[in-house]
Amino acid sequence: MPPLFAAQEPAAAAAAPSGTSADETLSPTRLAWRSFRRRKLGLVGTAMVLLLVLVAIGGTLITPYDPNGMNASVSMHAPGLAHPAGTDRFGRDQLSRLMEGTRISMLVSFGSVLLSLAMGLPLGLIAGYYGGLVSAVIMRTEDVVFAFPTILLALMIVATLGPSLINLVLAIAIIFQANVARVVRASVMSVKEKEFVEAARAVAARDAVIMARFILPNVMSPVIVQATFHLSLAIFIEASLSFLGLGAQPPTPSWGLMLNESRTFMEFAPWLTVFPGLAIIFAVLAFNLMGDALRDALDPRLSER
Amino acid sequence: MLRYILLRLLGLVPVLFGVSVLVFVAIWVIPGDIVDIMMGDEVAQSEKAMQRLRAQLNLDQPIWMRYLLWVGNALRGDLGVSMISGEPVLDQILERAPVNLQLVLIAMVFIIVIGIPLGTLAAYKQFTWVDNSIRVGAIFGYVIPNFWLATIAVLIVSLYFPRATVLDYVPFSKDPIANIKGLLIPGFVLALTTLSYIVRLTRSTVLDTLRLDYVRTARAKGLGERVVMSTHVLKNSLIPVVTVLGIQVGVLIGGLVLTEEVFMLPGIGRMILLSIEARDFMVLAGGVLFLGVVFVLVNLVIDILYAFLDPRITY
Repeated sequence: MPPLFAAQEPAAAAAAPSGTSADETLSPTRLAWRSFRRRKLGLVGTAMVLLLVLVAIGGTLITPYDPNGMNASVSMHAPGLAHPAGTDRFGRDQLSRLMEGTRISMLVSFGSVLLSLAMGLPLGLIAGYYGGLVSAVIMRTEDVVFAFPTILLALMIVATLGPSLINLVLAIAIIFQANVARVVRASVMSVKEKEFVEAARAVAARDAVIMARFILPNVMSPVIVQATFHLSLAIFIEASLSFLGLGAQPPTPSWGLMLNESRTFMEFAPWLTVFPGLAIIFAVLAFNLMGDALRDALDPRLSER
Repeated sequence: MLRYILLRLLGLVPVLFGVSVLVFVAIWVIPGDIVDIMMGDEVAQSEKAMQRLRAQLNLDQPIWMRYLLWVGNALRGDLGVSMISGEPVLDQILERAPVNLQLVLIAMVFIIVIGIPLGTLAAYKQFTWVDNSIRVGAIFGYVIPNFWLATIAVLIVSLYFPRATVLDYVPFSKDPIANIKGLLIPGFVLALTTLSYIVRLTRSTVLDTLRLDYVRTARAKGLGERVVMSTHVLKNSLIPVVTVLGIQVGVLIGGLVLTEEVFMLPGIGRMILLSIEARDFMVLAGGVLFLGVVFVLVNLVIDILYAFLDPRITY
């Protein structure tokens, strides 16, 4: 490849002080990683995310009990050695259910974010690249999604499709793809004016090639940052709707649903209310900390200090 | 400015059209035959009654005609009648709206009165223990789910203050003071996420402003810290905060559904939830459409306000 085709973000390359020899040879990815590594809270968040993912993958292999296994003899036990998070009225071990709930949370959040990228990336690329009428039609349609409060839109979609986790994933993805398309479009509009895109056009590269090979890699930074925040928001929306009875259905051990079911007995068994909430906080916090650090590393202009 | 306002009002038309189409499609088209769904459980439904209901809901008309009829009625303030109680949907909404308005206003007061000063204080004392504790508090405040906090609040009140009436809903007309007292905790719970976000945002915008030259000039010419902070720094830092507050109204409206559910408040959010349970699509459509339109209008007002606040913006 001639250097003409170096599809590298010029801003990131320029950020490396040209005087220092070490930085000159680092790719933007390496630079971002260096910056990310320095942020301790971000590393803590990443470790928390890894833990969540491991627990989700481990599933019933690592839960101490069967998450849905009932045992009347230990009904409503307070947290103790045998059951660190206590048991519910069916004698189900809450720690096992919380761990299984991690899997549900992760499936819903990663599932909805991936689906939202599959929808939003192409829409944003096309809108940003072609502009004009195409862009107007796509973005005005997305405006309708923005015209609704998030939870309300999710509520309406799930209410009409029927309460289930799959429909919830679909609802969350529909909401997120509008955000993705908006961010991608804005970045594409600035990137497509860069010289390397012009160069690609000059050698008669096809539009699809230009978009996929040259523009897409350069708009990924904000998309990745946004996706991380979407992961935490998806966990929150899943928990909210399951709490309202419009997401996971019993006996699925979703955190939100567990919290909802606990309300009847919370004066006698407060642990059933407290722990699912802590699990939600842990997961949302994990992705938020990671997202903050990623944003600072990948997109320094947006950093909050 | 007038031109800008007119343009924005014109821009409302396609958005409101889109909102109405989305609600219409989601509620009246996707689920399939509403009459079947509604009547599904009842065994002895005569064919005639179903026909009548279909005609009443215009289900015998082509789809575009149904949309036009629905929107036309909505524009004239007729959101239909509840399929369960027969009560007009708009009456139900207007009866419940004051609770929502109060909750959002109380939440806004908390956000502005606590959030902005805390954020400013954190920026002013950057990297001290004050700043650090405010930042940690804001991170946790941001990630605590409001429905969990609401549940814990109810739990604490019922465990330790069994006789307290802080969570009882009293209509405003009956006893205004008891009414507001009863809404303080729900209002705070509703506010917390946005409040924490505003603390972080205020902190970072104030820090940005503190670095600007004119702030140094103001200090150099011997102005007191109080004057510098209030007239030079805060005024200019708050512009982005106002915009974000507008967007956050959406978060508050979404949060209403959850807050009302846990605190058993008779607002529109609860009405929507009940209508989902009861499959009362007329009420569901009316409620969602109403909140969507309110949200769009609030954003419009904030946008116009923004133009007033920041003279650099010209249209």
